[in-house]
Amino acid sequence: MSAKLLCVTSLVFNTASADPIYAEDFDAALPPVPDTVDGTSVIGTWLLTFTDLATYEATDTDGNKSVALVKAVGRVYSLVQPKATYDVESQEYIYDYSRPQPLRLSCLPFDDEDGTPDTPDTWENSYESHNSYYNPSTGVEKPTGTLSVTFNGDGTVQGEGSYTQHPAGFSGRFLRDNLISHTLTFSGIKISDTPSIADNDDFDTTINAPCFGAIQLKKKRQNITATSTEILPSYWLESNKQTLTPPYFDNYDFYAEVFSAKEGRTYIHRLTLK
Amino acid sequence: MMSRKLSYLALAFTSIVVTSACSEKDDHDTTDADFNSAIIFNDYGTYGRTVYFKDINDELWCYYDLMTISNPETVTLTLSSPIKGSCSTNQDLTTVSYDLTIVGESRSDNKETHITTIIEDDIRYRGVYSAGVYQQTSEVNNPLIFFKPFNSDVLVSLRLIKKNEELFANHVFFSDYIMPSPTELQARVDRGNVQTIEEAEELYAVFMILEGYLDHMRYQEPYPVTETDYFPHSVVNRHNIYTDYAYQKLSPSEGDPYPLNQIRVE
Repeated sequence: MSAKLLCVTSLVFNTASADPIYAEDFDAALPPVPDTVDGTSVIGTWLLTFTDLATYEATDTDGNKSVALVKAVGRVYSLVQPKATYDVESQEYIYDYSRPQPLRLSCLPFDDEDGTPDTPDTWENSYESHNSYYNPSTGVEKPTGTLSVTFNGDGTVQGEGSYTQHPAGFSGRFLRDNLISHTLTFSGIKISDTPSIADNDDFDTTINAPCFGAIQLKKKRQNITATSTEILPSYWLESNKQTLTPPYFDNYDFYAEVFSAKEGRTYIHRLTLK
Repeated sequence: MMSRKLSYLALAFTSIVVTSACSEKDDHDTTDADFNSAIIFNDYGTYGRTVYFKDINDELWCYYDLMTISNPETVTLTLSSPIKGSCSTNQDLTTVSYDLTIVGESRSDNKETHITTIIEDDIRYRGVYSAGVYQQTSEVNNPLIFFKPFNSDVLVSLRLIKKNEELFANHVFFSDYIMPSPTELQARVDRGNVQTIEEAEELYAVFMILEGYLDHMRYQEPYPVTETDYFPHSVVNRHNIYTDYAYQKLSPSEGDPYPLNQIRVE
């Protein structure tokens, strides 16, 4: 494990790329941690690079199985926010910076198919997030995955998780791809001490989402590989929208243009670190 | 509270296991008891039974309980409003039906067929059964579970044992699919389960309701409530197989998909 951490850390500290990073290079090394951030605190905005390997399986009515392998490589911006408690009397939220919340990873490609993670209420530099499902008629709770996240105290982070089948990843009993398992690895750098995208003086941005970015997906089924590039969260492309400018990263920045034929307008998703 | 002892069931159904129906087959992969394409139960049709329970005043109530399995992908459960005393179709009965999606089938050691199910949406059909005629009415959303979708962290087993032309089964109810696991529920309560203002507002509203709802299920004695589609919660140990209340196979028709008057009244 320590060797792996050393390897990832060396990647993270590679010299920043001068050229924009497009889909085929989403696994390129991240730029160094900006000097402006406090690496000892986990709360803030993070830029992550991740790889996820997934297996889907479809079965026909004769019991024949078809397997699809999906490799997703991408980058996402994510937040570690302080715990917020709603005070009923004052009708205000009270923020506790001593109790960070887990990374917001809801935009990752298989997150919705893993079920709800059970994360610890208090942690300092590392945490484990567990997924499971429950059967009330048998009283059995079945674990389906664990994500381990470690913050190194220097503005870098690593994460590793593996997941098995969960009801949330069920599409249909026959002739539909069901998510059987996947493994996620990521590393990242902190780019701002402020745990917000839209309300953040460090950013010039059009974005208001706690988790966003882009991925390249390679889906292989029976030796046929299909490659696609998607922006995250996926709802940015809903309702007959199409990408005008492919998403790209430039050092700490992000840019993508999406056109909505239905609305007759172009959405610009842009974040620039000032 | 929710734990179930399969060993207890094994004892209870030893005699049934011996005569388990030969129309069931086991010709597919069953490696994962919850998710698989095995078709084990294939005696498709509509089954019905009456179920009795007592309210807090020790008075007896009855309702009709139907189960329709027409293919290996869907189960439809239908309940009538409860009737004080004995079941009878000599009065108008309101019904509620809901579809469950099958995600897998397996056979337990004691030869129970386990059909694991999820609910993908809050799709329920209401109807009225009157003088042998069923009429579907407009759907009424349940305000309790407005916070769709259903809990994707839950699946529920429909446990079947077949004997001659009758089926024995536990009672699955749609609210089972919003039930957090005991550890998850406790964790949510402990930590307030808030990460953002938006989530906090949403979850605050949800769990104020859900907590009260679970308290109702935990502590209230059986009683019929005005919301008739809640009443199966009142049945003690409803997840256990009802040995006293067997399903019998019915002969539905297009105009009478839920033939209550064919059900033998115990």
